[in-house]
Amino acid sequence: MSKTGNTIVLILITLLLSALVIGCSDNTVVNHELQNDISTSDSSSDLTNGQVEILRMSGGDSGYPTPWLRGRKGGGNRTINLIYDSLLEKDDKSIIPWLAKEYEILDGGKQYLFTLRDNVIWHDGTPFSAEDVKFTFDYTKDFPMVESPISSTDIENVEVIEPNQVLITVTEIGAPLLERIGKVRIVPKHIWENVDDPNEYEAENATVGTGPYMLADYNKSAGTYKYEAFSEFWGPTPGAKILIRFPVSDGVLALEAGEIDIVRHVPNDLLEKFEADPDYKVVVGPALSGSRLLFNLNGNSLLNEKSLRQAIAYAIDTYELIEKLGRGIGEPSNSGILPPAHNMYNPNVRQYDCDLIKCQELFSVLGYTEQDQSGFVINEKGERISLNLLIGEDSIRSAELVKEQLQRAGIELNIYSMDGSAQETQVREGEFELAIVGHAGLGDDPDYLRERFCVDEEMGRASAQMATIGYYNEYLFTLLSEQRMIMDFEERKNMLYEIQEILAEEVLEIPLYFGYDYTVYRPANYDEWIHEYDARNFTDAKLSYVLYSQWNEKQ
Amino acid sequence: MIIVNRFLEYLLTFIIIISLNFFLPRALPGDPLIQLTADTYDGVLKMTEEQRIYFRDYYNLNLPMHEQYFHYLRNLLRLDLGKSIIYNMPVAEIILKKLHWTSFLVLSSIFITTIFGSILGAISAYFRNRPLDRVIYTKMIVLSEIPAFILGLIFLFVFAARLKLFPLYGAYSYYHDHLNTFQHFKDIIHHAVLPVISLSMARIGSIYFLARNSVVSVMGKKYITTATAKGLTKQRIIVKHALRNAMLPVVTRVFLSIGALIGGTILVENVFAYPGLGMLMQEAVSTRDYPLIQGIFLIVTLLTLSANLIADLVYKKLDPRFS
Repeated sequence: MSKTGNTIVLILITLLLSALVIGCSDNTVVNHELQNDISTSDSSSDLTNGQVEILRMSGGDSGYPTPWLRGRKGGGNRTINLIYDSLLEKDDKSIIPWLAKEYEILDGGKQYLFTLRDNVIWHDGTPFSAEDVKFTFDYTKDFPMVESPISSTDIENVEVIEPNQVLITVTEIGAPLLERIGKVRIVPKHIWENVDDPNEYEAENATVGTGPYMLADYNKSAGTYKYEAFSEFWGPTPGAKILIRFPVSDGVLALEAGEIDIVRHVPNDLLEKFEADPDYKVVVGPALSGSRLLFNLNGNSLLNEKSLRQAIAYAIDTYELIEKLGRGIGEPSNSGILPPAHNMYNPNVRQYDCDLIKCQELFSVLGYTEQDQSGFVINEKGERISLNLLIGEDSIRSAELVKEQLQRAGIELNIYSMDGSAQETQVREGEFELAIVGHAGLGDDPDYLRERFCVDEEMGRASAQMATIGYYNEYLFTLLSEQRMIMDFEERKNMLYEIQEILAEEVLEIPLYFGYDYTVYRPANYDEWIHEYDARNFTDAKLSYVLYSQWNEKQ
Repeated sequence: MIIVNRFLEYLLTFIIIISLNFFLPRALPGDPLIQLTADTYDGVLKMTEEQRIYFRDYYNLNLPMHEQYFHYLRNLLRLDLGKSIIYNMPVAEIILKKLHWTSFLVLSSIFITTIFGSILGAISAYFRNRPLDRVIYTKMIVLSEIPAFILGLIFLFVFAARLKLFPLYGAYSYYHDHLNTFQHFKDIIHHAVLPVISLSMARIGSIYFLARNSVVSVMGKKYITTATAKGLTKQRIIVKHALRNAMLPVVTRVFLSIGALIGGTILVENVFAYPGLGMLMQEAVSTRDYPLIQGIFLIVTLLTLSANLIADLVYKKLDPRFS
C-alpha cells in the first residue's frame, strides 16, 4: 500500500514537472534562418538610406500569420499585412496602387481592370502573375479567409486578360467595392493550389507572400513575432531589417525603458510630459472612434416620438463629456453621424447644442408640462419619462454622466450594467431601450450608414450588429440603398449629405463625442509612421513599415 | 480497494465537471462571433453575413445544444479539445504551449509560501504573544488582505520601471539568441521573480496562520515539554518536533489550494504580460471562445483533482494513522 502510494505520488509529481520541462524546450516556428541577434542591435545606429536595424513593437499573440490561420481578434491583420500584399493600399490621403500599378473602372462599375506591376516575386523566388490574383479570388470562394472584406457573392467572375492584367466582374455595382476588392490579400497559386484545407495548413511555405517582410519566427508559447526585410521587395525599401512584436505589460513604461519604439493609446494625462521631451514625438490621427447612444424604438413606445429623441439630444452636453471623459481632448458629436474627419461629412446638418429650454419645449409637445418634487418632468397622469440604459462595463462613467445630464433636463434614467459581451448580445437581440456602445472604424466607407439604419427585409432589422431598432422610413431606406450604387464621388456625396440631414433631424442615434488616439514614438529611432486616410492608427498602416515618403517622391 | 473507491469518486467528479464545463460557458450571455465582429473596438474583424454563417458551421455553433454536447464528448474521448475561435489553433496545442509557464509560477509560489509560511508560523507560535509574534502576525494580516495583482502592480512600478532591477514583462528576454543554456535559465528566473513574489506574498498569510495555529496546538503536547526538558535548542524543537507534527493541515491546504492559485495567477500574469494560462483564460472568457474555455477549465480541473489525489496520498504518508 505504502509502495503503491509512493509510486503514484511520484508519477503525479513527475507529470506536473514534466509539463514545465516540456514547455521550456524550444517551441518556436522558424521559417527563415536569421543571423541577427536583436540584443546587440541598436535601432538608432547603422542607418542605410533610412532603413534601421531593428524596430520593436508591442503586440499580443494573433495566431500563425497566414490569411486562414491568423487569430480572429483585433491585431490579427497586423501579423499578415507585412507578409502579403493586396492590389491596392491606402496612404494618409487616398487609395493608392500597390500590387496593381493601375486600375480602371469599366461598364459603370460592373468591371474592374487591374494592371499588375512587373518584376514582383514571391518570397520563395517564384514570379508573381495575374494567375495568382485569379486563384486567390476563386480559392476564397470555397475557403473564406479569416477576414475578407468581400463576399464571394459580390464577385461574378475573375478573368486573366494578359499575364499582368486581371478583369474582375462584380455581381452588383457598388461604390465601396473597389476599396474592398483592393484589400484582399493575394496568395501564391503555386503553393495553395495543392492545399486541400487552408484552415489546417501550417507548413513553412504557408507564409510566402510578396510583401516587404518575411516571417522569420513565430513563437506560439510567448506570442512573439519576428520579421525580416525582404531584400527583393518590388516597392519601397522596408523600414527595418528586423521587426519584432511581443506582448508587454505596459506600453508607456516599455517605451520609456527603450524596449519598444512606439506606443499607442497614450493617456491624455501623459501627453504634456512627452510633448515637452525632445526625444519623443506625439502624433494623432483623425478622430474616428467614439461612443454612441442607441435607441430601441420597439423597447419603449415613447422613443417612437421624434420630439423625445430630439429632447434627449438637446439634453446631452458633448463638451462636458469631452471635458470629463476625454480629459478635454476630443471632437464634439455630430448629429449627422459621420465624424468631421470623414470625407463625406456634411457640416450643415441640424445640430443639438445642449439647451434645456428647448428640451422643455419638446416635452410640452409630448404632454410633459409639469415637474415633480425631484425635478423630473411629468404628464397629467403624474408619469415621469423613465428610460432604461443598458451598458457594458467600459461605459460606466459615460453612463453616469449621461444620466446626470438627462436628469438635469427632467428625464429619469435607470442604468443596467453587464459585461461587454453580454451587452452586445442583448443589443443585437433588441433587448434594450437605450444602450451606449463604443465604435471604431468611423472613417470607413459611409455605406456603414446603410448597414446601421436601413432595415434588411430578411433580418427584420439593420444588418449592423449594433444598431438602432424599430425605425422605418421608406424614403431614407431608398436613399441608403441607392447611395452605394453611385460610382461618381460628388453625386454620391450629395446623396449622403441628404441622408445625414435626415439622420440629424430624426435623431436615430446620438454620437456622444469622437475620441483621439495619441501615439508616442522616438523619432531618432524611426520616423516613418503614417496613418491610413480613413483610420486613426499609425501602427496598423502597412506603409508605416516601408520608406514610403522617399519612394513616393521618386514615383 | 480504498484506492479503487477513491478513483471512482474522482472519475464521477470528473464526469460532472466536464459536463458543467460544456454548459456553463454557453449559459453566459454572448456569442463568440458576435463578440468578434461587434464593431465596438479597434481592429475589429470584418465579416460578411455569408462568412459568419460559414464560421458558425465550421465551429458547429449552429447545431442544437445536445448535438454540440455529443460532439464535445466524442472529441474529448479522442483527446481532441477542438479549435480555438479567437486563436484559430487547436486548443490542446495552445494550452500545451502556455501551461508550463503557469505551472512554473504556481509551483514556485507554492514552494515559497509553504516554506516561508510554515517557518514564520512556527516562529510566531513559539514566541506566541511576544513582540516578534505580534510583528509577524500584524504584517501577515495586512499582506493577506492585499490582492496579488495590486502587489504585482506596485512591484512592476517600483522594481521594474523605476529601479530597473527586474524586467517589465514576459517570461524571458525575447529574441536574445546569444544566451547559453545557463544564461537562458537565469533569464527565466529573473523574469519570474516579481510575478512569483506577488503571488507568494498574497498567499503566504493563509499558510502562516494555519501553521501558527497548528504549531500552537502542538506546542502544548507533552513531547515538546520533554524536548525542552532535554535541553534541546529552540531551532531543533521548532523544526524537528513542533513543525514536523504540525505540517499535516498545512500540506493538505497546500494541495487543495492549487486550483485557487491557478485562478489567482490570471491577474498577475496580466500585470506582467506573462504568457501563461491566466492571460489565455481571461481572453477566452471575455470573447466567449467556448472550445478554449472548455480546454483551460478541463486542464485546471485535472490539475486540481491530481493535486487533491496527491494530498490524499501524502496525508496518509505523513500520518500513519490514516494508512
